Amino acid sequence: MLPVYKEKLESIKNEVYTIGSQVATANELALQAIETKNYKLFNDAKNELINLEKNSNKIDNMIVATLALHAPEAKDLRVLVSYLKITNEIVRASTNTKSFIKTFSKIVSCDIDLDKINEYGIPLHKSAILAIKTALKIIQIENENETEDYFHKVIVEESKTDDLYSMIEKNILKMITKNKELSKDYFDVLSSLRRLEKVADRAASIANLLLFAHLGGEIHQA
Amino acid sequence: MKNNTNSNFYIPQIEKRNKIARRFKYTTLAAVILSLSFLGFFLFDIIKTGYPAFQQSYIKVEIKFDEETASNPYGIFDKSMSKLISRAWLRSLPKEIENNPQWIGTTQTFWALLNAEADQHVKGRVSRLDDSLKAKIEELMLKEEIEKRLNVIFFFTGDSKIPENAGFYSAIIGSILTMMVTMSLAVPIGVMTAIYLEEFAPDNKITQIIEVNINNLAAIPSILFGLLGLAIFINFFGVPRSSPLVGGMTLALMSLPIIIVSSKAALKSVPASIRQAGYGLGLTKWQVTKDHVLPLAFPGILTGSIIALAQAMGETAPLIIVGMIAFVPDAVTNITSAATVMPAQIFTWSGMPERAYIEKTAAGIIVLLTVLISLNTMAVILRKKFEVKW
Amino acid sequence: MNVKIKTTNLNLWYAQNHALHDINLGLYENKITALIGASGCGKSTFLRCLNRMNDLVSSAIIKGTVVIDDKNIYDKDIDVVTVRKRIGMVFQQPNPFPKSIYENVSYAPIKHGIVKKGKGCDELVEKSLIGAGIWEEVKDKLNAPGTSLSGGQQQRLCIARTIAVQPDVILMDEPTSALDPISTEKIEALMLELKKKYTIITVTHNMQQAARVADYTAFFHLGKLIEYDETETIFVNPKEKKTEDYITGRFG
Repeated sequence: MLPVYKEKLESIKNEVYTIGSQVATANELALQAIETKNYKLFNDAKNELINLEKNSNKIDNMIVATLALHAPEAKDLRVLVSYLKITNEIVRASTNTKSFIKTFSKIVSCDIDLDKINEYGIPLHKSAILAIKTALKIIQIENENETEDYFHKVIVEESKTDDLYSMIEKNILKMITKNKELSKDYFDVLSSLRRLEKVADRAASIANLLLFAHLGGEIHQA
Repeated sequence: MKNNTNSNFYIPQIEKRNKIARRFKYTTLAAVILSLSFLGFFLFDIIKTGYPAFQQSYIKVEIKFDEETASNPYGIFDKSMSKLISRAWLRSLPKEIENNPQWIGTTQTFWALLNAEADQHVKGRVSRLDDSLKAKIEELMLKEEIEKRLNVIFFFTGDSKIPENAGFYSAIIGSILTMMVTMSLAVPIGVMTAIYLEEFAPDNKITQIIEVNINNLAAIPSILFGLLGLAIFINFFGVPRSSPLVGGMTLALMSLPIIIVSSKAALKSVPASIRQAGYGLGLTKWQVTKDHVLPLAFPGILTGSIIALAQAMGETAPLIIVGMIAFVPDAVTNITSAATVMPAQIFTWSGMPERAYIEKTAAGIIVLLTVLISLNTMAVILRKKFEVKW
Repeated sequence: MNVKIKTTNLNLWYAQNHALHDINLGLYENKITALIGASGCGKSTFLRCLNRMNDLVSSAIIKGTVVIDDKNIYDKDIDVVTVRKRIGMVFQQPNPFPKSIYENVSYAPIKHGIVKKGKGCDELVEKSLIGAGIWEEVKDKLNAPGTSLSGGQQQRLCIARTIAVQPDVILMDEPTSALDPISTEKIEALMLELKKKYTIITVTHNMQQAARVADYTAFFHLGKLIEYDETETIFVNPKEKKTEDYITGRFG
């Protein structure tokens, strides 16, 4: 393998990992904000995600150039094509995260029962973060046989978020029937938590694509 | 007749086609056999005729040396013996006696050379001796006082009017001297010409005309070169007639076209990629030619020169015109005295009346053929040895 | 970025055949420039103009200038031998001299007076063989004939021979088209190393090779220069339709 080609592959991998980590960090900061009720941290979380689209475009163009110049085959081809799709997933996860922060930061000043929501909301958030971080770990692993283990871990977290979301949905609907005038706020909370559940879905997609990259087979859009 | 009529592998005319092919093969084979048989017949005849010349007969005699015999060797023997013993041997007696004064007063035993007619009879051929002499010879053969020995005279003596004393030596030396002159003139001039034509000459009409003319020179009848040598070298430049110098110069002219053509082919066969590599490194034309092209072309040039040499060695007609058909009893040692060459000597002997010269002519042909075959074989071996592996 | 060689209105005729039309090209220093195009498009002819190898073809007529370091190499007062010392060439078929490996590398530098026989020459030979990435394989058999090496090794020997005369520019005429894929990769890696010290111009039939190693690519078609740009641009966003057609395999 020519050195220039090797360098390009390394740099693409690292860039993808970087933007993915930015999404994970943003979510961690948001979670911290909710747990410590220090809502200034929401701004820090948003700042993590500035320029993410721009960087994602940069990565996509690098991938196009590498495909044109080096005509990769087999694993290299699968890896580059997965990364091309993964940047998409990361951008969507970033959009979901930003949406969550925007909506949730608005409702914290309302009269809703935050503690009841956080009872299941914080675990949901934690699962989503774990899902993303585990999926990102797959990018950096040395031994690709561990890919399947990590993949299963991500799927587990993702289904947890599904269950937790259903619980929250039930609870919020109950709370709405109790306080009909706060229904709009409660609906906003629900839709923001739905965004977190979507972040976990994106993590599962990413894990699927990395499974294709490392172990082969066909692409399954999760 | 093939019974297998499996339609997948059957062609209807196959029998006829095979028959025609076989007939063709046998016709060509017959041509080869015919050529080889002509060659074989020729060789067989020559060897049969010439092989006896490599042996010479000697007779055992006793001579009583006293003052009388010392002064008159021809009187030593009686009439019948005188008719058997070679005059050449008798001629050399006085000198021998002078060198060996202690013989006087003693009787010595010698093996004397038999003369040509007696020698012919010993070898079982027709001779001009009368019957009594023939009987005497047979008697002496039974008594083992006549025996045949290896004919060293043939190889170490020059030509002679006395048949039994005639040898090929001066012709061999003459050939060698002539060849040395030829090669030292033809090879440098020829190779340099080839280098110029192949490497330096521009690709225009003049060069093409030169090349066509050189090829044509190779086809000119050799006798014309002899006339050229006579007119220009001998008459105009005053080179001594019959000398190896003029013979060598004439043969050099004849060999030039062959050497030029074969050297050009050898140079052409060096791949252009070698020259390109040389030029690409910034070498001059001379550096590329001398250090890279010539070493590779060397085997071809060497082969061409040896073949030209072999051909020149067998040339007779031009050398006859420049006079190298001289009668040379003693071998020459320099290139400006009269000499003769092997093919000319053969020609001379073939014209002599004495029967003994027949076998000498054939023997000379055998020697010449042997030299030519060895030269050609050496050319092939040297080329193989020097072939640079790619 | 420095322009090392600049051709201006370069035209070439083989007798009546107009083979190169007004080529204006600036080749950058310490970069690899690839010349691509279909068979017979003039890329090899152009390459051979850069070191005046076309002077050896009697029917070639050349007009225009080729300027390197402010001097036109076709000026009357320039000796062609000095041009070829500064601009070396590696050919398609590996063509080592039928001499030993040592002599292959040492012959030209000695003739040019760069080194004399002895220690200086030994060092130059070693340095050149290391530079060509073949020292480890031949250091114990410097007296073996150059032709005893494999194809890829012979080509690297030719590269060592070329860099031994200390040129500024190395021209490569399809250097790997006669080699197997492993040797090809070794030579491509070598080209990437060499560009740090030399300017490299290479003609290649293999577009992917140009894509892999070249910084700049020039596309030739029927004797004309169609497009000249950074390789990434040519292969991702070519400006001319002819270029795009060639690269995507729609012709050629």
